[in-house]
Amino acid sequence: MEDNKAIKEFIQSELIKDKSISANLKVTDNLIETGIIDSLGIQKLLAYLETTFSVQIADDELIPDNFQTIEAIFLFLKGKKREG
Amino acid sequence: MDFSLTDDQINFKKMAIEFARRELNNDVKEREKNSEFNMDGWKRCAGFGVQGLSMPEKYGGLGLDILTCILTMEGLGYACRDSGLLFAVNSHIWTCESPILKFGTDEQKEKYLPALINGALVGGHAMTEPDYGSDAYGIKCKAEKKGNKYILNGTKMFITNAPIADILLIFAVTGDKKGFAGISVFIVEKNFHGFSVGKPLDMMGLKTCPIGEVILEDCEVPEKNKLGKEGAGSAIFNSEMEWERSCLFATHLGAMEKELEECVSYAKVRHQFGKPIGKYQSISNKIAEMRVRIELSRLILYKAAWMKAQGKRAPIESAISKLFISESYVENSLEALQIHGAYGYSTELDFERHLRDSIAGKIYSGTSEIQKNIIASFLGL
Repeated sequence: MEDNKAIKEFIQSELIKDKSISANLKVTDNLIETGIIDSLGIQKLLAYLETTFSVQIADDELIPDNFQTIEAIFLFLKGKKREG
Repeated sequence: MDFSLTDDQINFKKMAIEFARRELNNDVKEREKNSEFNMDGWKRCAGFGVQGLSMPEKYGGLGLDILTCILTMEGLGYACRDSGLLFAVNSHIWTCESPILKFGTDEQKEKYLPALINGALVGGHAMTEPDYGSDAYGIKCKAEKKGNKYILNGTKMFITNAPIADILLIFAVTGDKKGFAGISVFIVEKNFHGFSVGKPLDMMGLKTCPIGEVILEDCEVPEKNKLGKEGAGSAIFNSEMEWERSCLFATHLGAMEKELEECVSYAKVRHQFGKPIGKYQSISNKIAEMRVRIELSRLILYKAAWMKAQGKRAPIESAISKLFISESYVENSLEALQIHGAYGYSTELDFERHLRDSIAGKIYSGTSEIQKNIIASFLGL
């Protein structure tokens, strides 16, 4: 759950410009459909995840299912760590 | 980082220079004037191994490391006076072959890579649309699944190689509400029902590279021609762009080296007011600045390539590299033209062509402004 919190904080501070949206962000919110993660945002998020959680994310893993919500990102990372 | 070059790498660059001088420059002025693509040169490039430099031997490539590929491109950029041909070849490699190698199924690789590498097929990719350039993920071209096919509808614009391409990687929307994550890629062959291309567009530079419009009208694409998973379009596009921004611009580095050499030689022999113009600081300082830009271009290019070779992501480095090299090529071309005065402005020499060709580099593969946005975004802005 700590990972979940860290990811949420990163998204709130680095990817969301609007403070009211940032304050109300839930782990189940769709980050893609709401535009919180856009084409530049995904690049920043990847750099953050790879550095912070010491994982290597392959290009073919960059599909919506893995990044749709904070929960999905968390589960994706958990799976990666299990593999590694 | 270790940028020391092996003898093999140095030799490869030399061989590329000799090859380009010997086989790619015939009738280049005439082709430039007629906006004519050099298909014979394309095949000669394939014979030399250019289209397969970085591709595995299994598919007929040379399987070379990234630094050797870059040095080869530098050599070609230095000696080949047909920038349009080099641009066509690079687009083919980085936006068609590489993504098929990286994201394709075994069947797709076996079907397309050998013929792309041996020069029998010409490839490219189609992302840009009439209303969507820098806002790449806003594209409207749609792909709807029907049975075991996708039906593609839309128009693509300014597509490199389109008029001569046998296959294009077409980016299309498969998920309406998903923005950048709703884009998928399809390998579309020129004979697929509903696929057509417009006439080559008349551009300011890169005259010998065919660039055109692509029209998809109920274009039927078998499901097996989907490249990567549904929604993988942005990952494929980012991967392509990082490679292209890291490698294509090596040809610009080579071209800048050539311009510099010619400026130095000219500044030594051209006399005005009783002495060589190179003895005037107004000229020698320009040449020194050209050299500085080349040196810095080389360092950032090699750094980005080194990171890619390590399997690392290099979004900032490839953006800096693309931005700096493309801007430097324009500045160096302007200076080279100015140093040569009216001779430089004349179409007899290559400086005005370099200038026209160089400006394209500030636009394609993400404009200079977009590269700055990427860099700023990573700074939290």
